[in-house]
Amino acid sequence: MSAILQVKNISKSFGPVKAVDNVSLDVEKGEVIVILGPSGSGKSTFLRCLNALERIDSGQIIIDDEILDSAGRNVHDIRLEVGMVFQQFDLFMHMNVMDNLRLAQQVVRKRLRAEAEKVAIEYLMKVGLYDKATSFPAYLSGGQKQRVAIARALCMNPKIMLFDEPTSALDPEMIGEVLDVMKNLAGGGMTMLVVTHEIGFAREVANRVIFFDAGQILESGPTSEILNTAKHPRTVEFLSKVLK
Amino acid sequence: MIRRIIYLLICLGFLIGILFYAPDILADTLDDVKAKGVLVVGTDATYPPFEYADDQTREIVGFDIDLITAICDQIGVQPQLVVVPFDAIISGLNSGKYDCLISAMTITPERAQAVLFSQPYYDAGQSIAVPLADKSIRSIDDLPGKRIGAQLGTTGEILAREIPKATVKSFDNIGEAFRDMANGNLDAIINDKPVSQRIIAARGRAKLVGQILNAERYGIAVRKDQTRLKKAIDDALEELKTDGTYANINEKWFGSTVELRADRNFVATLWHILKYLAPAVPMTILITIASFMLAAILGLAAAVARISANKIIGNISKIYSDVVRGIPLIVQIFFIYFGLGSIFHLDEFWAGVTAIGICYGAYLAEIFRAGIQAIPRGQTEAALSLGMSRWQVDRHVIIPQASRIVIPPLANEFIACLKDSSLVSIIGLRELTRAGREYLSWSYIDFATWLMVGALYLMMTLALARISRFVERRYRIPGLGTHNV
Repeated sequence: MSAILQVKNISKSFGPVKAVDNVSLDVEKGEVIVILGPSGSGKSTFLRCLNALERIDSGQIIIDDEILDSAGRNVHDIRLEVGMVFQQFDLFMHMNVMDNLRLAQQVVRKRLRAEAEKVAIEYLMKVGLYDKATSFPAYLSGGQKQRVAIARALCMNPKIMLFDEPTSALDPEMIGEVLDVMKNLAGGGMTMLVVTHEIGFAREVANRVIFFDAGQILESGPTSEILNTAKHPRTVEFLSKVLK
Repeated sequence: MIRRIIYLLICLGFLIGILFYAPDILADTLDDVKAKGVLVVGTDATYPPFEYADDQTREIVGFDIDLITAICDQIGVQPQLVVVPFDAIISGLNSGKYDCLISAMTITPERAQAVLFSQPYYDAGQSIAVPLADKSIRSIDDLPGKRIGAQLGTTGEILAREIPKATVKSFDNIGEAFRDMANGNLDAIINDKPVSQRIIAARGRAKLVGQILNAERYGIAVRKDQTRLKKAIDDALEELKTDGTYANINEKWFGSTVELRADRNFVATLWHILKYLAPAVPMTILITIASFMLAAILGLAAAVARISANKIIGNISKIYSDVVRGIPLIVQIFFIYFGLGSIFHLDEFWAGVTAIGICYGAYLAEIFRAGIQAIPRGQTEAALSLGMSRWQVDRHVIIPQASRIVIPPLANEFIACLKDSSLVSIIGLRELTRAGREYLSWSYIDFATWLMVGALYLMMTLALARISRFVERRYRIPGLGTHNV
């Protein structure tokens, strides 16, 4: 199997702070990777580099033969391959659910309205929110918003999905419905990188766990190995706190 | 007064001509006049209350007209009026277009060379007006150290400034001085006697005291050779003064029964004012819209510049905001009209639009900036992550949301802009406030005039507030900000 995503020695600094420090990573198609780490460890920045929301200072990101480097030339093409889900959902507040799902399909993918609507309905059914098509975001619960946000990203047919703490802003009773959608997505063969503190989700779904600290990958390996027999003391310390 | 001096110079010009072409061919016409039963009278009908065209009937009326009519009655003839511009009135008389003239003409030695004046029929000049209850001021000798009102640029103001230790306050409109005195801010007003008399007649609360200053006396003029006609007029005048007719005419035009007060009740006065002001309303609306469009363009550009990553552009925008917001709009209007206007030849409309536009642009820039920055960064990032270009993000995500956020503050600024458009009245643009000042300048009805001006502004601003609320409701984002609407 060839890697769908290759990250080669990328770095990203904010002033004197090295948020991502010379990180490399290969991701196979269909792999689900959970990224763990204390806050400020650079895991979110790493994720944001992957779809060029942060421009990398050095290194290369190769997605399915498209190369993104520090010059940032391929930003648009890279973003078409990568979908992203944010902590705060970030639905377009002035549009109803259907329009949220249609907009980028029409203006970016140049799909006709009817076609975009068909795609939107398909993914709304997948996340179980077909009945909310005409609702405005302000009238949805947090869990529903996040499911719409996932559907919105999927409508663009990305090859990779990035999740940046997708359940951190949710009330506890709503976390399950979002994780269920993500599990289904993983079950369907989607390549996913997930920044989360949901160890249960990692245990159940992830092929691999990466532990981030101080802008670097401190430890990486198959899920059970990292979760049960982590070697590095920082990883052990972190896990003991999260699992408590 | 300046007008009078110009007339005087022109009259002098005529005088020289007349001296060379003495009209001795024209014989005394008293017999002809009596035979025809008609006295042809020249007058310049632009000087209320002496002679002017009534604004409703278009008939020539006034003190002079009533007086000459009464004189004709005495002589036993009918008057026939001929309207002539004041600067041509003496030459018209001497060329035989009319038999005599009555036109608030001051008797001067220069004019007396060209025409023959009757006995003076009216004493004009500068008069001192004081509050009705005042007992301390009896003449000009009591004025030193007092607070004196006058009209800007008049003989009255010059006289007032010659009074030692007096505080002189000048007004664009002498009616405002009378209001100020009624409010207790002035001790006396020096002004043209007939005008002061008329204002006092129209609304009381003041009286004239002392001698007339810079006395001017009005006379009826006939050709130099018409000594018999002059005598007939003098005799008639004398008779009118003794039989009380003159006093009646004086009371009619300068007494307490002046037309403005007697003819209309309050509602009719308001209606009359409204009819006068209404045609100026479109100009107020036009200047508001034009200014606001300019302000919106400047404001949007400044807001984008302010947010932009380019430091120089950002700083230019910041300086623009700081400078413009730190200077009163009225000063900016003066600066643009008198300063830049002389370089770029801006008329008062475009100077006003430019000044208000630039001023409001600075305020709108802040509103637009706040509106754009109020959209969470996540909205942009989510849109970018879906593959949209910067422009698509702005076009489909940021602007639609920001524009809804700025509707209420934008509407507020529009209403403020409408009100501030009144400031351009100072450079002479005839919008609503200017029309109000005009009406006031000859009616001296200040309370009702400002009441109507205020009411018209209020009608416009209330309508705008309603429209704004409708737009806000119509375009609000469902589920957001409902508690505000």
